[in-house]
Amino acid sequence: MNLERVLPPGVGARTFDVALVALRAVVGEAHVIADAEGLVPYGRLMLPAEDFNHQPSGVVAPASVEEIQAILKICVHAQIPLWTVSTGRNFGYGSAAPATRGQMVLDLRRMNRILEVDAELGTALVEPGVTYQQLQDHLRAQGIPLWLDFPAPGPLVSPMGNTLERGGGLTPYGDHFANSCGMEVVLSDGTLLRTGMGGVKGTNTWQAFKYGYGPYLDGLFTQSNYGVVTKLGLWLMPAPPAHRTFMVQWHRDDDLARAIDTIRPLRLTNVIPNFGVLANATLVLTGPCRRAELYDGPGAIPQAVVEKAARERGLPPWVYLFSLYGRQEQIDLDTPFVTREFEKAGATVIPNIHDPMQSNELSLQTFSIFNWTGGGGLVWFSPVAPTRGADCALQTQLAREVMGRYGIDFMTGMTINGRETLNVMPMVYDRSDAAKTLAARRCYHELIDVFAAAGYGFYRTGIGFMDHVAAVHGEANRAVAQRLKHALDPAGILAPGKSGIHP
Amino acid sequence: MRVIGDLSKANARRHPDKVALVHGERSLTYLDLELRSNRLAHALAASGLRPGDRLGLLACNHLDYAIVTQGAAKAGVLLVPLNFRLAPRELAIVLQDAQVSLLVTENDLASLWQLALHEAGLAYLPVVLLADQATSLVKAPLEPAATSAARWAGARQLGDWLTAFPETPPNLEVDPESPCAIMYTSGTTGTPKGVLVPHRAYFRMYLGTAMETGLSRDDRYLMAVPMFHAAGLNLMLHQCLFMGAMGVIHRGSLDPLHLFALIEAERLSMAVLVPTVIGLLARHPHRHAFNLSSLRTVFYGSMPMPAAVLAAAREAFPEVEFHQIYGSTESGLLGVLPWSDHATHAHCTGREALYSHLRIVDAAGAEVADGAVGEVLGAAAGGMLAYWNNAAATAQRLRDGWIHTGDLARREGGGYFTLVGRVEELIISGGENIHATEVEHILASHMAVREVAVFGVPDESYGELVHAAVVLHAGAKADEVALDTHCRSQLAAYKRPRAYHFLEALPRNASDKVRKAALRQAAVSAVGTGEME
Repeated sequence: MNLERVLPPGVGARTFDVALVALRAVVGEAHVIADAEGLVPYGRLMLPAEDFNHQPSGVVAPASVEEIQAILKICVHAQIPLWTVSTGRNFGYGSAAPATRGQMVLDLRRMNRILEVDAELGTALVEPGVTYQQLQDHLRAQGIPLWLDFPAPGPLVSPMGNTLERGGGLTPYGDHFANSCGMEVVLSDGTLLRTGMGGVKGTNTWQAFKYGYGPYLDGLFTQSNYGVVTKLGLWLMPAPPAHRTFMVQWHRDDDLARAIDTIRPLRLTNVIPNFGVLANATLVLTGPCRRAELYDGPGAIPQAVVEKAARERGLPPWVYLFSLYGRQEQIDLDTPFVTREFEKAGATVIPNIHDPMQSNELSLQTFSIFNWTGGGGLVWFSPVAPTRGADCALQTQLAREVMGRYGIDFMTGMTINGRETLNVMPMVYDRSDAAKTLAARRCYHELIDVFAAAGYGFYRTGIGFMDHVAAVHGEANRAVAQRLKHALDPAGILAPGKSGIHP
Repeated sequence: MRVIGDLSKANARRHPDKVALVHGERSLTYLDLELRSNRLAHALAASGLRPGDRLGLLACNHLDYAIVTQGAAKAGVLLVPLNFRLAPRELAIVLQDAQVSLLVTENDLASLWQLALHEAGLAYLPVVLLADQATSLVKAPLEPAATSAARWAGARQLGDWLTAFPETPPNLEVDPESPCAIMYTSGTTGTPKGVLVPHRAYFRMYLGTAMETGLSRDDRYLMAVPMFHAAGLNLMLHQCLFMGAMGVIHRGSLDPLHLFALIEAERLSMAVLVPTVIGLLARHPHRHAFNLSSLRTVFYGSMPMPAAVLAAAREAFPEVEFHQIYGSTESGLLGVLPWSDHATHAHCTGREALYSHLRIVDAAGAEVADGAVGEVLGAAAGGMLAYWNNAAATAQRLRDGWIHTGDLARREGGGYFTLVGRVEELIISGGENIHATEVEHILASHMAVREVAVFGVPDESYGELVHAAVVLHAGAKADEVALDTHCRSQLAAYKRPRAYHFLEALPRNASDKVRKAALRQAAVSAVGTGEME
């Protein structure tokens, strides 16, 4: 690891040191990091981008909106770019590291207050540093019967961070942005904006009604770099009186298209109310197995090896997990119907499965994916497909072919909505091996190109790949995003490069 | 040292390697300053500028500012420091009045100077650009400044330009009695007036200031106030160079966080500030988080210091010695209230400064007695030579060897005096001079306005705030937003009224003159109610 001092681009050491004096005065000595050793955790990557390009110049961790406003004043003056993180996890998409070298990390983890929970309306108002675990502990301590929907590393991560990345979970509230309501945002000139109903003095509908009056602004502050979001309203699911999780087993590798076409009408009609997840056997095997136990040959693990290992553990090539929620009578009524629909398509339905993510249980069990190869490398390749069997099958074929050429094992966990499927593919690799890291990087870029050539776009990507993905989504989109950037952050100091948006 | 060009020349001999100025990552030693300003003097001569010609300098605080002031002085060229806060129309008027032969400016101000040159009909004027600065100044440039400047045919970079000229001193003897600068004031009629100041007057000021306040060559100056201002140029930049001290330049917002950080990081000992900023510093919540122990001396002036602000400043910075400096562009340094006098006379403006000579006289020109109010006069030897191309104004200001400042002061006992107002109706807000007639002229041009009177209302933070009493034409409609929008395009921001009072008629005296005192009093009384009708 190179421990030389990193400076913000175009900012000299003298200027940076003056800014550090001011930042320390604002947030306290302990909450500014500028020594190379202290910055190491903030520059540590899982995804296969080049370390050099993503090393931060410092970290500043405010405790309040007022401190953020002061930090912005200092950094606008000194032209120090700020990369905002909530808890800095964002595993596999960049962790806490900035999109471009030399940005200072604006770490909001100290702002971790749960400001309000309305048990009647099922809403919460939280700060950036609140984790799902913290929020769940609070709900349980207060005896509030509300569930959370969270991504795989739930206990550690921030509802705000995940929502602003438009991340998702597996319950009926799995579209996190769709289940957010009202933001407080600090713009780079210090303006404090409350979206939706938040601008109305004395409002009690900020977390109840999203749209407010006039343009609906909240989307501008997701996957973007237009402001620093300091409060976020969440809609939380009332704890259902009962729920039942099912595993649907698809017995042949080419059952994928049929699976998707079977699930789609059930999702469109909301018979299946949640995203659920459709995973291939390789992904499922990362739970009980290590790769080396199954295969130590060259290249990606062969599909035949995967299927054999899965069979030995009673697992099919594709598994779909979903749940029914509500009154027990309704679940009992719907169970035979959904079972019949899947069985008609040749699948086997096993009821009463336990899936923590679909039942409000925070767990770190999904971290077992890192044990697959060891070496700490992970990046998510996340194209979107229409929820049509042919498209999901084509995406699988394309990904397998490209990943196979780079020796990367194909895995996917598709979260399925009625119309769109987020085809989230973890690429696990040994990051301690430079050649494998380079291969993973090249593979990812090629995947972007191959999928774009087939007409597919992406729901999300990580640092190092943002410009490439933004280019796929079209020059006009990019130009308008840049115009908005210029209007909302004229100093251009907020997270340059985020989602391919540069000052 | 006798002429402004000696500031670099003498110090380059005495301590050539000493750092004179720092800005961000760049710095200049006294030798650098000497050699580069020599190059500039040659370059100006080669461009056809002769002694007495004018060079406009429109720039925010910048490391190369001193190169230009020194280079112009060595070439015998009159420096015209220009206010970058002016609207393009206002700047155009100054450029036309001064008849500048060359403009030195910068990309960050491109939208201002390009519009002004166009408005003034001076699009042919040679333009030289200072190096771009990293520090952000412009909140939302209309277009990338570099692109814009690049389209300005003939604009060249100062650094590139100077390389073609020698570092040797120019072969020119500059007369200390000759003018070295035209310092523009906003003028009593709203039309800016240029003040011709000789070299000699400035050196009296530097000497007097240094001796009155105990300055040292070891001082490290915070250079934050704009260098185009008389105080920024003379009390700060040139006073620092006169002492052979070091200055750290701050550019952009005078936010306390920036200033505190610079003082701590650079261990600065000396600052020139206006009372408005001192008040912000003294009351800033993060003040205690900075190590400001290096700061020993603060000069203040340009506007009255409210007692509460001074008290807060003394409490906040108990180790700092505050010195009030009183003078004007025309008169130069007139009075000083040194720190040692603050304990007993903090309410006063000061007493006559060393190397100065002031009188306080009544309308008949007789010295007033203690306790009486009169106009402050300064000896002509310490100040201006004349107004540029304005004999009438010169005759009014400079009479019988005395400069009539227009300031009204009360003579206190023991040699002290206290400023109490202006003979003219000048509004001083945030240290900036604003003439009511100028603002009235702009407001009166609004189609809905029948008559208007502009006046200053005391304000603790800014000294005074600009208020406007407006009478609309029958049936016409205009609110304060409309009038502010009207002013916005034609007046510098600091000149725009901060409050409007819509009246049925203006109060007038028997001679039909508007009773501004009555308006001011009504506005003060209305602060609690928001109404003065």
